[in-house]
Amino acid sequence: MNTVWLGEVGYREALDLQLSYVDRRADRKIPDTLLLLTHPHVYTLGRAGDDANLLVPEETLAVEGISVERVGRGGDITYHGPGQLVGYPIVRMEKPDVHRFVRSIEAALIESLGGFGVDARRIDGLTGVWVGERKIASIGVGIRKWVTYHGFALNVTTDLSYFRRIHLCGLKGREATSVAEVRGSAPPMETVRDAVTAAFVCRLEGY
Amino acid sequence: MLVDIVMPQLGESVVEGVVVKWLVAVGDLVVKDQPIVEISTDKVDAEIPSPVAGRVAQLLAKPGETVPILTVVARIETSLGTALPAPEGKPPWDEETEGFPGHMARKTEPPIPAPPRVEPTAPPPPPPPPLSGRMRITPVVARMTAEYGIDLSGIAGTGIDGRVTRKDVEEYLASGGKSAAKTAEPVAAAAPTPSKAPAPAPPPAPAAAPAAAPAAKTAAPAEGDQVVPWTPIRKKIAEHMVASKHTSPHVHTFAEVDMRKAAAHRAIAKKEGVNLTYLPFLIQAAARALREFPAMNALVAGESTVLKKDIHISVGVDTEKGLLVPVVRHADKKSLAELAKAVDDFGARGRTGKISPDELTGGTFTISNPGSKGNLFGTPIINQPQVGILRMGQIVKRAVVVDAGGEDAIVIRPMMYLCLAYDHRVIDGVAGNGFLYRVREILEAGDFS
Repeated sequence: MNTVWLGEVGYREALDLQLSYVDRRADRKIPDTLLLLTHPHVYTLGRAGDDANLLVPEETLAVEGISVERVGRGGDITYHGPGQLVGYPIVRMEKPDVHRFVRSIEAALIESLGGFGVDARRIDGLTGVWVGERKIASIGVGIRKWVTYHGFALNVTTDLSYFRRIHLCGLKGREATSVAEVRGSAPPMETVRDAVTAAFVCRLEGY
Repeated sequence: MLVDIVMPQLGESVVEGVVVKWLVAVGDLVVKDQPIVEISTDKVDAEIPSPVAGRVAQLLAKPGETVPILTVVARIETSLGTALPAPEGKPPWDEETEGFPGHMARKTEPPIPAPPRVEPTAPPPPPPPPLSGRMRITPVVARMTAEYGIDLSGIAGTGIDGRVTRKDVEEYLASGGKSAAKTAEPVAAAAPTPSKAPAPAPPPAPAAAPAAAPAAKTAAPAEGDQVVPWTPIRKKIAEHMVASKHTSPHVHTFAEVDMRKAAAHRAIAKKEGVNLTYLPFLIQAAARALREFPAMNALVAGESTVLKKDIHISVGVDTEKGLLVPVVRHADKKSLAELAKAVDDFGARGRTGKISPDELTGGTFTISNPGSKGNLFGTPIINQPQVGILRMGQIVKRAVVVDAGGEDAIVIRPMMYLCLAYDHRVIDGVAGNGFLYRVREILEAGDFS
């Protein structure tokens, strides 16, 4: 699996990039690839997204330079922004097993977090990675031409106040956390990125 | 040759998927690997590519339908030379135009109330036989029933073959485990609980409250009854109405306004060949009053109130496609003539369906004008996340008592009841009353520009 570090990329731009990777992966022109990046402030609403889960009017956000994007993925609302490591695995599924795929992403993130002394876990019935009752990474996967896109967002030093302005992924009352909040401080983004890369290369082989 | 397209198995533990959206229509030519349908499971969304090239002959599942894996959802004719089944026309369900944030979504075509459909274009193939009498349920449902200790036999399933879906369980839970129950238990529900000290907190307003009464037992339609399924726009309206009532404690306050001076203005304009309605007068008066009462020109955001700098007034326009609420921007900076022009323009374009989505968003206050048949008065529902709405009553001549040079006199005046609804979470009585009183003063002073 290839990994590509893109730095900070706008949400729409990154989506277009993913789709171009999906096309090339479907045509077998490239190997499975993990795109790693961060996004500027953005709230994204999935197809199941309910505007009511955004607690602040869009125009107020617009004033602050935060955009709201409606996207074709499943799931409800989420937030991306600086300090959050975003990963989009572009993986061709020979024999699709989406549950196993999502569990592998969770496992890779839990493993990477363990390396930093963060004791993360799954919660049965809920997608994502959790520390206690708080969500440290959200996961949302799409498939196109039997190639996966979208992926995960891991809060490293994310300013968590941005999550308080939405009902997190439609789950009212659930809170977000970050590596920095759990440990008191967070290793540099590059360190986290490299740990996540290593875990993914191990876990996402053989799809 | 007809090739079956089945709901794929997207994993060992996946037993069903939801058809989200068809990307092709009956009669379309497709190439191999072209995405033809979007499906979703409890974990991911997937676009399913066509395994063959050909022409779409049948679509056998409706968007939103949950289908067991390996069920045929479409058929593609690969031998294009042979006679194709006659195109079956548009699918009978509504293709929703891509939603935009404005709450009054507009459809490209007026909804046609279809007669109750008994069968889709082709009957879905029989689902796989149930496993030795056990109800087939998804792992999610199994987990939820275990977690909450629910007896599945008490839930009416809406899935294939009456199967209980996750949504059914969620609705069952949301309703306190009552409303979707197969056997209604009116006895317990009807008994009024004696009110104890502090009333129990009302359930948190479900923002996405199911607008429809959850599966309340309705009598089966009798012969001759017409079942009109909600269109996407109707659903949207329903959701917003329910959400507004849940969100804002509405206070309704009334003013009786003497519209004599506005009527005189109107008569003069008419002589000059300009047909004015009363709405522009209301917009102007409200815009001026809003400048003096900034708390009314506001939006609620979570636990804060955003006092808006600009005054953009949403006005109701009745069109063939239902009520649209376009926005007159910077209403406080427009003359009466400009306001009239904006309103007329919306009215004309509303009839031809040419109001753009952008024109429906961004309002900071709403005026509802039900027109000449608007009756005495009505109590409007706040257009969220705004905090106030004015509704005009019918303007009728009444005998009123006025002060004529120090003496009381009975005169005939065109009078109108004006109702203000305000969000009592953020607007106190003083501000609400003061604002409405000021609107009335401005209208009666007749100093229009």
